[in-house]
Amino acid sequence: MTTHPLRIPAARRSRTPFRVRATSGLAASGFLLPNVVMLGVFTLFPLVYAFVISFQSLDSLGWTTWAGFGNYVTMVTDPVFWQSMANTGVFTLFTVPVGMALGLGIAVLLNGVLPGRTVFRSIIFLPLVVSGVATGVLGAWMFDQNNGFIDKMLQAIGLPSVDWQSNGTWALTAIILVTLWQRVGFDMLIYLAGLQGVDPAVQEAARVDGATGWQSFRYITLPLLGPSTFFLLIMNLIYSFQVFDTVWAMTRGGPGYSTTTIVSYAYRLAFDESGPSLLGYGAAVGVAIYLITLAITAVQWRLNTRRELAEQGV
Amino acid sequence: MSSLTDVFEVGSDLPAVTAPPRAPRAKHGRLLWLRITVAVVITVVMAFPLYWMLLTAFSTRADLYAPGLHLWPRHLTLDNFIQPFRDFPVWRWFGNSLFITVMTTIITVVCNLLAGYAFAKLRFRGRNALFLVLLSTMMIPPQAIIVPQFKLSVGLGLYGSLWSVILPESAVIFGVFLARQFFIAIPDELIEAARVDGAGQFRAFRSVVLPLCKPLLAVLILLTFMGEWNAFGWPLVALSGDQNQFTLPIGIVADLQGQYTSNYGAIMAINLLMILPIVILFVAFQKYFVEGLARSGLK
Amino acid sequence: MLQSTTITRRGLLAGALGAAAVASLAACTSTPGPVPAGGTAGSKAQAKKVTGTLTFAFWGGSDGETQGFAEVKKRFEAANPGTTIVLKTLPYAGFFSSIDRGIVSETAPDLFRVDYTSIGKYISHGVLLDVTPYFSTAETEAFLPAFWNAVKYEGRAWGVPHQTDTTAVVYNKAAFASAGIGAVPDRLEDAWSWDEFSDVASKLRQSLPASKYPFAYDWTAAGAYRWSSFVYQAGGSLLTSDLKKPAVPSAASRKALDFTKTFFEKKWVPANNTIKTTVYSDNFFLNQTVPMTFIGDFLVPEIADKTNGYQGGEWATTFMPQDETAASDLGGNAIVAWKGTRNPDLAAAFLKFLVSEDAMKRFCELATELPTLQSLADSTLDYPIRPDSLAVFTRQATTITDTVVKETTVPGFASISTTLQDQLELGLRGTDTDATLRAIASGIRGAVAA
Repeated sequence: MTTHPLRIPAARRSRTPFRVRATSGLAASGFLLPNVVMLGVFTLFPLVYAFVISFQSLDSLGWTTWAGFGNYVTMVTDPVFWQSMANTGVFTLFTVPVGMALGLGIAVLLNGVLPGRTVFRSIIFLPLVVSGVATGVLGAWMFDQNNGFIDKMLQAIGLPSVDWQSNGTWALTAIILVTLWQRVGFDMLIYLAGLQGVDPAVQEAARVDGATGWQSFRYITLPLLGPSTFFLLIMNLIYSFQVFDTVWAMTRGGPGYSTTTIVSYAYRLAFDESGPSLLGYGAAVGVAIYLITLAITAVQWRLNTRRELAEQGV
Repeated sequence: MSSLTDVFEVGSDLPAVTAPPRAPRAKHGRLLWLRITVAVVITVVMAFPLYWMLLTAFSTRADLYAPGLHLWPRHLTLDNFIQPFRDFPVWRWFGNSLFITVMTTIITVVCNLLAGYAFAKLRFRGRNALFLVLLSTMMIPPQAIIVPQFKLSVGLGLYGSLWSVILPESAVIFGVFLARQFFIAIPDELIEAARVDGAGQFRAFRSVVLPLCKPLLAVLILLTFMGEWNAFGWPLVALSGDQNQFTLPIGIVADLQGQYTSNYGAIMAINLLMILPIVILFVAFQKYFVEGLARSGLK
Repeated sequence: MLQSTTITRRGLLAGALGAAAVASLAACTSTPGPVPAGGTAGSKAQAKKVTGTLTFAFWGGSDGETQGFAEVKKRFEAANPGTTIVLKTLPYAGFFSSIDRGIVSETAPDLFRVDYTSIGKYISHGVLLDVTPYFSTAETEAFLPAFWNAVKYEGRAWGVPHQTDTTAVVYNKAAFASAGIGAVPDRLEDAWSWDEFSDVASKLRQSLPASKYPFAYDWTAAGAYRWSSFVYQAGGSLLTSDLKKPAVPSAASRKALDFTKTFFEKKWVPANNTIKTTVYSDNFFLNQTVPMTFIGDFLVPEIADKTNGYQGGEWATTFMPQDETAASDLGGNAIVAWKGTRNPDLAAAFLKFLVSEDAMKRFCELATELPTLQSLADSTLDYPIRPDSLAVFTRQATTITDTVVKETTVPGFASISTTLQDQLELGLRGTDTDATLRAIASGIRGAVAA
């Protein structure tokens, strides 16, 4: 039985008899206080406050009036809100599965004996430590439609240049490509870790039984990578759904609203100078983002629980 | 965790999954060359943007906007560094980034270690419920609470100082989660022994548990450091009132992108300066980065 | 990772909801308006001794502006021993957001710069210092009336009009020659008609490769309102004469939008010379993507700079095109004081100093901008950089009509500006002309009603 490195078996062990018993609640609160206070004040309280503000109409100079459900009504009838939801959906659709497939491919490629594979792995992994802002700024330069590398390269090999900045579809494509560049190392890493837990003897046995390389990968390796896939799915979905830094640094959500994701829309509504300074409405969109994130996680959880139960049933 | 860190260890001698031992030598050789070629191509594609950033940072403006594709530098220059340093307080930004990052890292790691230990080893009523409430904050997108965070930092009188970034950014649960997992694996007997010798909870923690935590500390410190060095959303709001309080990411987006617009030489020069510390840290502590990022999913 | 801990989904959700129930908050409702600070006009106009320290926040639009403010600060401190003015430079992108946050958090700078299109928002929110008492009638009459009106609201003054700027056209002489474009207008009366301008653009289009474009326009981001110059040129306006209702859609605005749309259709401007882009019109010129561009006079030093400026050869300046009439946009800025300043007398003294004849002349010369004082407006100042170019801008500034000033400084103009940004971005990129104008009209209606 292989243990996935990211599965933490220790939590079950904590149910075994506990010997450090002579603990007073006082000591526990001493240990907990700093973190609980920080989280309570700077995260939980603002969350509650966000709900309150989302029922207000509040402008950048502090004018406040109660809006009731006004912000939420505005939201569901706001075409830009829906457009940014759609953009986020497209972005997620292309970054998550494609990124994971690429990551898996690279992981398989670099898993076996290969000279210099550590160097390959490190370089593919490196963009991950580069910040979203740096990535976005670099992306804006690479995809600059007047002087950028990508268009110059396309022209050099005889292809027409692409209007990466003025055409909405291409602009979103550019952001997706840049995000894949930054994130694929993470997918590779998790799959590599997963692959190390796959016992080569099982595959060898399959091969002896006449399975082709693809069959053995499809029916043996891939199912064994289930926990890695689940982990990546949940992390990547949340990341892609809440993407902001890269988008903001690269396009500010333009041209038009064609690269405005839901989080950058919330930012633009409340804080951007050329935006409308609707802080209450921005908070309402923020609340919506929170609820959707929660829903995504819950659904994932449920699916995974079902999968685990199914596995245990075998 | 050993299998995870092996991922990046040189000469890891785990058996090769894809190399069939009984395959004919020639076929094996061709396959290996194919794999190497594909790996090289992918690696070049991945490394190229970083090379392009480097190239841009040291190229003259005339070269950057000259027509045609040039893959190597023609005239090297330091102008791209000199100009932004003359126009903007770049060293201040660097200093602010460093100060905020170091303070946030210290506060976060201390809070996380203590709380993680309590959740792992101390018994108290409502332990699981509290942990769940705290864990649920992981789901909160930072931008969703930016408006109230702003009002809060005004209310607390933090707005206008670097602490308006440090304190909220130190309120994270993820490190608690990591620390808890780590502490659970430490045998109770060790702590028990210290307690029998008369040590209080805090002393037992400090003298027995803490010395065992070096790998955990390395991961926590590196992750927090990286996350904060790269932080953007909240600092953009909290620090916008004073150019001298900007961090590097804010300076690049607000000042450099705003004023240099298409002077990409200068923008890439400061971009390079921003990612350099993290890249150096990465090269030095690769193993811990890999382990930490694998567990965190990058926030 | 998460699946083998003891946490259940229900537990997690319960935790989240529990957190939400932790506290209930009451928020106060507050919408105060401008409050006159008391004192009749001119009652504190007499200079008295001031001391203390103040912070003055501005954006450094160019090296010249930064230098200009630094010099005026030095002169003020020398003339008023015991005073210190702390200059705080902020990036233009995000400037007003940070001022707003400063006002909300009571940490705003004592004095700040504000453009005429945004001043209305601050006046109507009642966050500015009423400077009426500090100016005598003679002092207020020294300003060109349009600009003094720009800082006035309901009979009180809420700042000083510091300078103005406007848009004109710079072009590369060699590119014009090789496109076969002969004489370029050098008198305002002879400015190109729209047809003549189109002819120039077509000729440039023919002579340029596909990767280059004839010109770029300065309507990017907060500059979107500069589009309305075409409406004014066509004889229209954004607002009705009582400033209470939108005057679009109209024949003039339709004509203006259709004309500006052809810039993109005929590839006269780069495809990314839109409203929401990070590339401004001067950048297209500096990169030599275009041989002609519409820019504000404050950008002249940047273009003229020997090492980082325009490297494409000789350039010259000409006037905005005209149609029914000539018109250009009201650019420039007022300087205002925050109501919360601890030293209103000092703040007012510095404001008065900024708009004294000497200080304004010096600043405008360094920053290559245009003065707002009657006495300075009648002649061209001694600009150290490209005086020939600034002479054109100075003449062009006479086409900033009273209608332009009145409409640009209505309290709701910041919202109008946002509407123009949003709708023109779509309109110029192909949305139906009438639909765009109707959307602009509805945005304007909301802005002037508020």
